[in-house]
Amino acid sequence: MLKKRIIPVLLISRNLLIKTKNFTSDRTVGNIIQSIKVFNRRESDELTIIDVDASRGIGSIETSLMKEIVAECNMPISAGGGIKTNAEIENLLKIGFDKVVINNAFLNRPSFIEDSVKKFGSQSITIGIDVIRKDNEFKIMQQNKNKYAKNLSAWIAFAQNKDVGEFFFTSVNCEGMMKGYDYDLLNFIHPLIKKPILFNGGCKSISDCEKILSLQKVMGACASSIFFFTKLTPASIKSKIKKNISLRV
Amino acid sequence: MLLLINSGTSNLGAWVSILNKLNQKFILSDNQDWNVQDIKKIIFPGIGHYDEVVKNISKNKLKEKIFHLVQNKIPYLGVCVGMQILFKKSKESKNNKYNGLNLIKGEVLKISDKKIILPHNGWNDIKILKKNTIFKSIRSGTDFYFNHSYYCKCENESNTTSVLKDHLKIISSIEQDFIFGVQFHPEKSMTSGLKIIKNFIDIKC
Repeated sequence: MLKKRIIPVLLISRNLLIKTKNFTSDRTVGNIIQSIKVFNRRESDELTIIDVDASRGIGSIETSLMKEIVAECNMPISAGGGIKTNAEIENLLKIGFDKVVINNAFLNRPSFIEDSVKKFGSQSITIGIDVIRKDNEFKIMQQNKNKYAKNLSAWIAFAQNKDVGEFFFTSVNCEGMMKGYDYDLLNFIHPLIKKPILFNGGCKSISDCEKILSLQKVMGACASSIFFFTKLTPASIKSKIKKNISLRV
Repeated sequence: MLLLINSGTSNLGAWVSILNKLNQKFILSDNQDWNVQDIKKIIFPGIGHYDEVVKNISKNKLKEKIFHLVQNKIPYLGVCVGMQILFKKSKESKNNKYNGLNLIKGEVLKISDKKIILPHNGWNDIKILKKNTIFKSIRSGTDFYFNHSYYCKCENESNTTSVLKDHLKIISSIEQDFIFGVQFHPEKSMTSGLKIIKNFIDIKC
């Protein structure tokens, strides 16, 4: 049976491993290569690496560091951060990533979804969607823009129709807060999606992971802070999740 | 010398670092400095759209060279789309414009199992039907990392060496003489994946 995954999300800024809260208040939490080595040794299911500087529009993904990262792990690994072109995707796959997470470039240029899927296959193209609560509504947050782009349900339907691979959601309000996932958001999107969902932002405990993974289409519980500020590891979480969720142990 | 195919859209770097770690010498297919006679093994990494991959290997007669080598019993390990390319046609191909190597009889179809959310991405356990060279020291039931929406359907049952344990129709590996294909990604499947790569490299020929 296909296993559900615990996915550490590692944020990089200026070659350092950082943690944010609500996408701001950067705080350095360690050395990225050391951290990758630990996750590799502990046989994590998968890793997601986001170059935060690139996603904020400061330069593009730091490829020399990305090369070092891939050399340290023989597990599935995704890269994200300001990716705008097929050439950048090709380069990241060539470095050894399996999937890329694309967010703003899809919002700015929706035809890019189809272009990238056609070239690389949907299995390598993950759409990132950052959601913020505003006026009692879920809105898509767009980097460096003061407007809230597009209607969330319409955007999900559009991306799905273009056969994007996985959906990677982050709740901006919950990110880095360690107060639990945004369950309202998850309940809102889950019925709209036919693809695998990776859900991120706010994980504080084993029961958070358990709760979201018990939903059929949630294939990955993403987390970050808990791996740096608590003693939990992907393996220790999996060992305590109840048996009816299929996991790789 | 091992020939590592650069199909243009693959995760080549992951293979380069693994082969280096295993001290296995190799040459990249887009390096012009190789002769067909010196090639003793081929690895065709995965990732990419079927059409895009066929288009890319059709440049510089690479497709013909691979075909010639495999026909001369040079061991071949195809991963994901590198396995699918062993067949003549894929449903992923738009208007059937591009043809694969046509070395194994069968076809490449889109997964239509309602219990599998596409893309079929993640760790899944396999049932080994035929314990061949590359499965040495690998137990049936081992998890491997998959990332695909299309699967191979062999015309001859004897080509199938493993299937997904809970979806017996979905073939996870094939063989024919010295041709090996795996739908999963051994380069991303930690210790068990590494063992498969080692088993392939250790084939004496």
